[in-house]
Amino acid sequence: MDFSFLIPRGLDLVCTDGAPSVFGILDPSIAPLFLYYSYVPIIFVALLFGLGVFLASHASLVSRLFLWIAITFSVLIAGEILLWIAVPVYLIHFAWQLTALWHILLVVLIAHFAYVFIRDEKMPIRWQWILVILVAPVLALIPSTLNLAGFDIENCESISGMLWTYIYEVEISVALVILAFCVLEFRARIGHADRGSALILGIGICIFWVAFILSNLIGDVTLVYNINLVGPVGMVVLLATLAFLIVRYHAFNLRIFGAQALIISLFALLFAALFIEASTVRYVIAGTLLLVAALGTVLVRSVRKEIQQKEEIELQEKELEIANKQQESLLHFISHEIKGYLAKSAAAFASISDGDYGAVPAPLKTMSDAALVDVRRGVDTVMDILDASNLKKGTVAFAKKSFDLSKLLSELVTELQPTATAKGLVLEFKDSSGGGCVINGDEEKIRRHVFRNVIDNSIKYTPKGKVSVEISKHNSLIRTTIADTGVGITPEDKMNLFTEGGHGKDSLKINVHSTGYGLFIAKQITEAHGGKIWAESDGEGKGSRFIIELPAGSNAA
Amino acid sequence: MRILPESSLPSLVVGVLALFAIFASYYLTLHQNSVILHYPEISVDSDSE
Repeated sequence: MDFSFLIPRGLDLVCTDGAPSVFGILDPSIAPLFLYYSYVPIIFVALLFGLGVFLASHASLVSRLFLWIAITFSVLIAGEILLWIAVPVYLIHFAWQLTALWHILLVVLIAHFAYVFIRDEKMPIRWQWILVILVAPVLALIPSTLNLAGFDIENCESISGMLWTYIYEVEISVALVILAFCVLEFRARIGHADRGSALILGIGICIFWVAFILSNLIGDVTLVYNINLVGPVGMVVLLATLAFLIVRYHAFNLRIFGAQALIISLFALLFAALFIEASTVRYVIAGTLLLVAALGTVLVRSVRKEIQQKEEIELQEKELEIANKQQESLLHFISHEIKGYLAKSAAAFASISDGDYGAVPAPLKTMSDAALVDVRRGVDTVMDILDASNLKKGTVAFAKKSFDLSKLLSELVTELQPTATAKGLVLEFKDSSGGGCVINGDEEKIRRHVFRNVIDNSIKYTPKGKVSVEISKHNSLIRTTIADTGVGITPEDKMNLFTEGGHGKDSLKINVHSTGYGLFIAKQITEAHGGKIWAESDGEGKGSRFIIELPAGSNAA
Repeated sequence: MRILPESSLPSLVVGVLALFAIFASYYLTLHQNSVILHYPEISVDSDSE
């Protein structure tokens, strides 16, 4: 078979600005030093990063696309280097022709990558075809004079054709679509933990894209090709963005890779400088390299350790949260069932006591009355647990209306007076507000769960002396102070007084039926009404004061 | 019988077109040397107009 068509012809036609010293076709001295300093390490870093991500994430679709981006980008940059240093005219022209190919392939790959990265799913086939339709004309016309109109021997450069206007238009349009897509995703992800990742990737891609396209465009228009050299540096921005996303948002499902990639990149950039700078500076660079390597190792190790610990904690947190939720729903279910049975029992005992089934012998009535009291207490306990659970879940509805708090407290004190008197306590109510204590809220819940609860508590925990309830006004707040001469509160008990199921150290000795939910519910309801509840005590055996502040309602005088 | 899954068709089209672009450019430019060359004389002439 004849392979002679593989052997390039006409390599003897050369540009006169260089002398081919390498392989008879290249002259590295033509290009500015900056070319090697920026292009060579960028190729190295991009390929390393692409390959690292590809291997570490087990060749997932997004990592495959990223590897293709890295390869295409590297080939493009290698082609740019060839453009600078090649001497034969036809070789330069060939490399120049293919620039259009790498540009357009990058457009397709980056658009595809952005979609898969952000949506975490395959790009719909229709979108893929749209991309193909956009780029197919360019690919088909690359060998034509529409891509490159000819070659200017005097300036040793190819003359861009009309196709490039289209290429730049496609590049800019796709960049804008990607940015819009990222912004829309960012807005749609309110409340998501990885919300920012879409926007950061969008910005990263756009900085890379803008640097890349603009430098090419400006270079082509002004014919100052040194401007083109700046473009590929944008790739460093994209790589840094990805490294950040990997560490911060676990992009590519990788954890530690980002820190390693950053260190390797820094190392590669410094390594490249080693070949460029004057010999005296080389020692400094070599020293810096060693330092970077040492510091990098320490950094990567510490990041790895930290990430592993964080992962363990996150896992435990998740497990705990699931266990908590399961326990809560079980508790909710059981409480709900028990409440039903207890309510039926209460109704049955009440009917017996009331004589609904005929005359009741005295011993049976005594037993029935006692059972009714116990069953009602049981209902209250279960209701407390259910209410606390509902308040925590936020499924409690408040039927708000305006009512007079002073009147409510006065009624409550009258209602609880027999209980206090039975214990030999004095229960008194004092209104120092001067009237007009109207508040806006759920009267029933505030009465039962807040004030009745707290006053009842004070009576329970006061063996002798008195319990006083006082209402007063402080600007726009209505303050109720429930003071007693009871057992008092120790500083330790104060810590978990208003917590769910929280008990004082010795509280169960005094109140054996305490569920520990009463004050938790009181606090939740007070806060739901924009108020505050807290306790004060001078210590054990020195009594306590519960202060409840609620905002005055709109009808307040 | 379908040889390729439908989802890989767009990539295949782009791949084939890219290969075409590379080989056609190589053949036309480096083998046939069919490039319109602009020599200094031409640009000097056009400048003087």
